[in-house]
Amino acid sequence: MADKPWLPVTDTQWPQYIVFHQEGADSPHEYAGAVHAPDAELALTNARDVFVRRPDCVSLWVVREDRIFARTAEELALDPRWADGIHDAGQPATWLVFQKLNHRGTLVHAGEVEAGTPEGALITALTACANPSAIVWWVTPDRAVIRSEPGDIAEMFEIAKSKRFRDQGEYHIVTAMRKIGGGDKS
Amino acid sequence: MTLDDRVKSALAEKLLAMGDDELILGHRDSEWCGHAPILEEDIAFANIALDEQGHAAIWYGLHAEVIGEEKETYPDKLAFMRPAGEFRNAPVMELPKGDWAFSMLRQYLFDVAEHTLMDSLVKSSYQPLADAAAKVQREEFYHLRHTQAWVRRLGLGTAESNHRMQAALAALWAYFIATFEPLATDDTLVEAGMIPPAHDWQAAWEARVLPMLNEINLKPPSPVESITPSRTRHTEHLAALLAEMQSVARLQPDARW
Repeated sequence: MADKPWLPVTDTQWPQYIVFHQEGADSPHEYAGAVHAPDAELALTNARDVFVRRPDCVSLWVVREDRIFARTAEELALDPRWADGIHDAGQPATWLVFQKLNHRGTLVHAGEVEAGTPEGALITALTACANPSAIVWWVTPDRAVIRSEPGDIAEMFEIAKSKRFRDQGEYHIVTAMRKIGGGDKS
Repeated sequence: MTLDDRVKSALAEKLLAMGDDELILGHRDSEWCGHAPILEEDIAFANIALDEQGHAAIWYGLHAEVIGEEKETYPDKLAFMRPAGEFRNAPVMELPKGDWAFSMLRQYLFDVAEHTLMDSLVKSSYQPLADAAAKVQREEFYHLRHTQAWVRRLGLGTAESNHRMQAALAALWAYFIATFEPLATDDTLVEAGMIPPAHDWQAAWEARVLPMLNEINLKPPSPVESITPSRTRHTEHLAALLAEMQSVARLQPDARW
């Protein structure tokens, strides 16, 4: 904590896991948020309970936040020579690449690269997944990702289909509030 | 399906007891809302509480059909307008929520009981019951996954977590064994192939629960003491629970929601 003096010394929280969800078989996994959990298995169940309230999820990934290497395009531009001298040592492995393409969007799974270090993975990703609109880049080792299984769909996700009360569209108050918000006095 | 009067009243009794177990346990679980040890678990446990209350609505709905009451409105009357003496839940469901170990272990023991009961009820000769059981069973898969993961960690966690779990098990065990006590009219339903014999259900439950408890270093008390409270003779905790749970509905019994 010495490098972050603004944090309280004793952090009793569990580790944080970043959650990615997939809304349909053909869509990429997208950043959904984060959960605290004591371990990977509970991270996955917590992710389900917190982020799969509505029936638009077919798969979940969770990954410990400290396994994610993140850089903004702005950071990279400020230090154009950041990659100089980086030697991508270590055992090559698969890394997942995520990009955020606009400020209102979220991080979306863009592909995979092979590399030995986080920096090496990002250097490769900048070319392999090149996108001039990318404003944030994340890379994380594939083996750090804990995934729901296809067999989990029925018990983890399908259930939500019978719970229409969780859908805000079920409540007329939402429509009423929108009308008020939009200045519609009818 | 036409049912003779004897079967009809036995079935109504059974469905009421099943619904009351779910409603009262669901309410106790809901008391953790805003108080669970961590935010994520607060949401997860509240989800489970809501699911159990949803199951109560299913069993109450079937009960209403069997006795010829309105399926949509009668469940609310059952939940909010009955006094404690008319509830048929097992007393273990009404015990105060205790500490986290107590509530989590109770929910786990109940999930296994419900899961094993549904295993039989999906084959019930009374089709509406079999259909409802299939629906409930889908949710119980996930409950079990969740509570089993927690119970395992608490049992194998620290000296304190194991100690608390052991204390919870000591307090819960005799009460849980008593939940399998058949209702006076259950025989009629067993003969009709509508529900499993109570001892088969209990044996299926023990076959799953005992190895798990052993694996996580928890020991059920032995011999099992018998308890005085029953489904028709509640502890003092039920009336207090109902006073709170029913208070809003009773302020305006004819309110429309």
